[in-house]
Amino acid sequence: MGADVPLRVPRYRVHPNARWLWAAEGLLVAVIFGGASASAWFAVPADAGAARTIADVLPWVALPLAVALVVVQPLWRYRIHRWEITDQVVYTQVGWLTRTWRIVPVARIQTVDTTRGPVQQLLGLSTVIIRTASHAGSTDIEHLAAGTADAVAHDLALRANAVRDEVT
Amino acid sequence: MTDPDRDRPAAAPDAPPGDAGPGGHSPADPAGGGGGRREPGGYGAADPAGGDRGRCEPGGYGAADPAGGDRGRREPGGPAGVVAGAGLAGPAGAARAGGGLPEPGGPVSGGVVPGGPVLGGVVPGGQVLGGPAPIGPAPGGPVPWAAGGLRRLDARSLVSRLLSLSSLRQRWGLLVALLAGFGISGRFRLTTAVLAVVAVVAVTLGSALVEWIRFEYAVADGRLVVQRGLLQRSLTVVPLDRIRGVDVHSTAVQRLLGIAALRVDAAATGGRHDEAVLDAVSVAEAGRLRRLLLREVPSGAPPGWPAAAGGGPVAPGAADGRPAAPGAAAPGAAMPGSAVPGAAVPGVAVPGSAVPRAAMPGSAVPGAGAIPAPDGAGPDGAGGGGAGWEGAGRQGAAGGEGAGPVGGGSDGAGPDGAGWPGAGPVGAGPVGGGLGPVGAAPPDPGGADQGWASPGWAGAGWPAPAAEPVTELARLRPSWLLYAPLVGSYLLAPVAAVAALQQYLDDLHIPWFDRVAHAIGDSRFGPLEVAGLAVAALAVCAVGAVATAAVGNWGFTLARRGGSLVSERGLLSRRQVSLEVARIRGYSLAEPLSLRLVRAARLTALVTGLGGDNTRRGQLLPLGPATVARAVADKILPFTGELRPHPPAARRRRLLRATLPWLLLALVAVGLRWWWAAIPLGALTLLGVPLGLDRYRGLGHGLDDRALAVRSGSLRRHEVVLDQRGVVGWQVRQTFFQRRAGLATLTAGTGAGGFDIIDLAAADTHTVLHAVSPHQTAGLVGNQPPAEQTTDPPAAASHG
Repeated sequence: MGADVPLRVPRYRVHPNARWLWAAEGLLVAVIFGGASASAWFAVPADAGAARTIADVLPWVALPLAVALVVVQPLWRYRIHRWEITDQVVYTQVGWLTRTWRIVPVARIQTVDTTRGPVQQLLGLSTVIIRTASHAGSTDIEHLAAGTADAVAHDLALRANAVRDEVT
Repeated sequence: MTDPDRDRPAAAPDAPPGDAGPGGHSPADPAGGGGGRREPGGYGAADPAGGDRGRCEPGGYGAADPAGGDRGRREPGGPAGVVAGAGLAGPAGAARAGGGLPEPGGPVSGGVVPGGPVLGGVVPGGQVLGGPAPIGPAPGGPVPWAAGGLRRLDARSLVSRLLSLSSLRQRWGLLVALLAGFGISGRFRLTTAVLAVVAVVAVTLGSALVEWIRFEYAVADGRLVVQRGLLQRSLTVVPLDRIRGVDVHSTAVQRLLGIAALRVDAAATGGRHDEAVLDAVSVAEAGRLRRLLLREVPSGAPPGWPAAAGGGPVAPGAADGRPAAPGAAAPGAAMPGSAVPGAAVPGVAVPGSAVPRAAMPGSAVPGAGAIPAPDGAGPDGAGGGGAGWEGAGRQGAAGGEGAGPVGGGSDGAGPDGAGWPGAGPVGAGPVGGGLGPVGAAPPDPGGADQGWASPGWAGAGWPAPAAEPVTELARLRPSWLLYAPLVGSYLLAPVAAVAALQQYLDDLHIPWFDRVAHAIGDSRFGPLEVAGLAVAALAVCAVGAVATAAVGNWGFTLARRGGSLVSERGLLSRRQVSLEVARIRGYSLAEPLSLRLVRAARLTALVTGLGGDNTRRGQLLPLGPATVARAVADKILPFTGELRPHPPAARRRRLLRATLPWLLLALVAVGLRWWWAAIPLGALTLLGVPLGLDRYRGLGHGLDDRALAVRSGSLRRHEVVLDQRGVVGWQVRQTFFQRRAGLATLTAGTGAGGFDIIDLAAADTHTVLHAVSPHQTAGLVGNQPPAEQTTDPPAAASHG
């Protein structure tokens, strides 16, 4: 049972530093959830019945969740996240539990941006934002080396211009 | 600056004092308010300042245009420019930010130059960021649009502005404050109240007058130019080829005055708001502008369209399969024109009727100069002129009889004469008014039919140029309004109205209202009374829904006119929406559960860039039998394929997703012994079974050689048929569970939104991708391994 989508894997991985960024993002969620469950564990009185039961269970959920988010998620994502630019399309694959592939024809590209968040700047990463007339038909290439992202953006802008298809 | 002359001397540099000239703007705001974006040129060179956000405009937008300054509008430019819009860094943008803006007479910095010089390749970022670097040489010659002559809005718009609800609402607070002030001081007299009203009217009229004087527009050189504002001048330049649709809307007051507001929707803002609003111009001018702006070309029908002239008119009755009752066959008889009380519109000079039709062929966009200035009537034109407005009732009857091909004003077209049996009575009297060109063709009913309140508003109110074929595609029958209570948005409209009214009454603190409300709140009703009240409320809501639908959709017609689909509707205020056919990417047939029970549907066009406006502006059939909706849909984009059901695994998933959440919640409730919650949750779980099964029945997708069809949903079922060429990009999504079940969700992204093919067999993604985008996906589809697996892409990676 089960079948994969018949799409081949895109060629390139993202920058290895992306793992640290994903770990940081996972840590943030883990800290929030862990903090909430810890405060529930301390705050809920022993005679609170159902609420106490939930408060007792929460830390046991929080711990594996934290491990999954901080350790498993970044490594898993690093295996999945890939990108490629063929002569026709920008092709990306992202996700870990849920996978998403995006195919964006270069001829339909309207704008190419690059963006770098604060953590990305610390890690020397950059994201290329590729926009078409359609939101669903747009894509981001996340967490490339800053130099690579600039080169990609520049190149895509020139090529999109050369083969531009005015139909939106 | 308040020179009322329409034709400004072309080269008179009467720039306002504070105006920063083309080269004179200070480099203080090099970024032009564009935020942290940097010039695309910065990609090559390391960009120190804007290091966190860059933008490349691949579109080869030409010289930055001044209009781009704050609204991100872009000029379609030459082939190779990679130039950020003026709003990003252009000097023109900076000039605007500084508050200055070139007067139309003055020289304009390299902005509004047609085909402005395009700097090949990448503009060096540093140079542009450096401030007033020349993006293009300033032309010393006349400003393009000044030659065409700037026009003002119709003076009658002052009246409608004064009487409009929105201005009342704006000044309401002032009036109440004034009255309250007098009331508190204990010297409330009628005279003070009158004075207060007069003051409010004066303020409203004054501001409207200033707005009117400072608002000018022109269509010339392939652009719509609008400049307005007293202190903060703003100039909007919309290239005509970016215009996506034109709405003509007129409130009841405006209809009586013979004016209409024109809304221009263009591509540049991503559909967030209207590019330019002309509120309001005369009816004739609105028609002229609509044709100019949409560049209506009669022969421009894309292949696949039923030939406009040859395609027979849709006879709703026939398509319906039901015998058309005599009354229903001529709905025009009951059309708004005749229904509007006092429909005989006062004689108003319609300037546009002086324009000979022959001078405005739909095929060629006439230069603005070729059109006689229609504004000769001036502000006091009301009552003068004499191009009278015939009684709407008579025209209503005529329009009704011509219900087949409501040709409206297409003088030359054959069906027109036939469609207007009452041409004599309609056409004769009013035309005599001395407007030469029209009077010269006495048998021409079109000349007289500036009749605003006429039911055949489509044809009559908006005379079409001779060469412009008009084909009616749909016409709402009044009986279809009875479907309205089955549509949630209509059913809830009365509730919303009551809520709004209640808030309003609360504000006024009317004592009896509070007392009544309290009485209702305090009294205790038995179950029978509650049930009775509920039934009564439902009945009121149903009646209200029909009324709401009638007010909004009365006399709805859809017609193909040249390169546009033109729809009209409205009982009190009339609204005409033109959608460019070239931008229609398909349609959505909505068959919610309630409408499916009575075999009714709603049809909406999917127009690129309209965004959320699709439901409002793209209506092709607001309410009607499903057969009629499909007949209209087939004229938009015929789909000959069949919808394929999705694999059985999809049924399992639909069932699980409809029941599992409720089931889990119910189990939790049982565990906690919350029986009050467990019972309804259990009921919802059970209801989820038929719901999930019906959702599975709804799932389907299909292909033919031209279209892609997608269907999903149960309570809100939609069938979407897309033109395959309109698909911009693809997204494939597979959750952990979908992967186990061998399913995936494929999303076709178009300029009109993304459309999900939910839970199709994972292997079928290949079929769809290959059928719709064979070239783009050729190397990606299939399970072959990638050519190489590089962890770190080489510098030339992007050349792939």
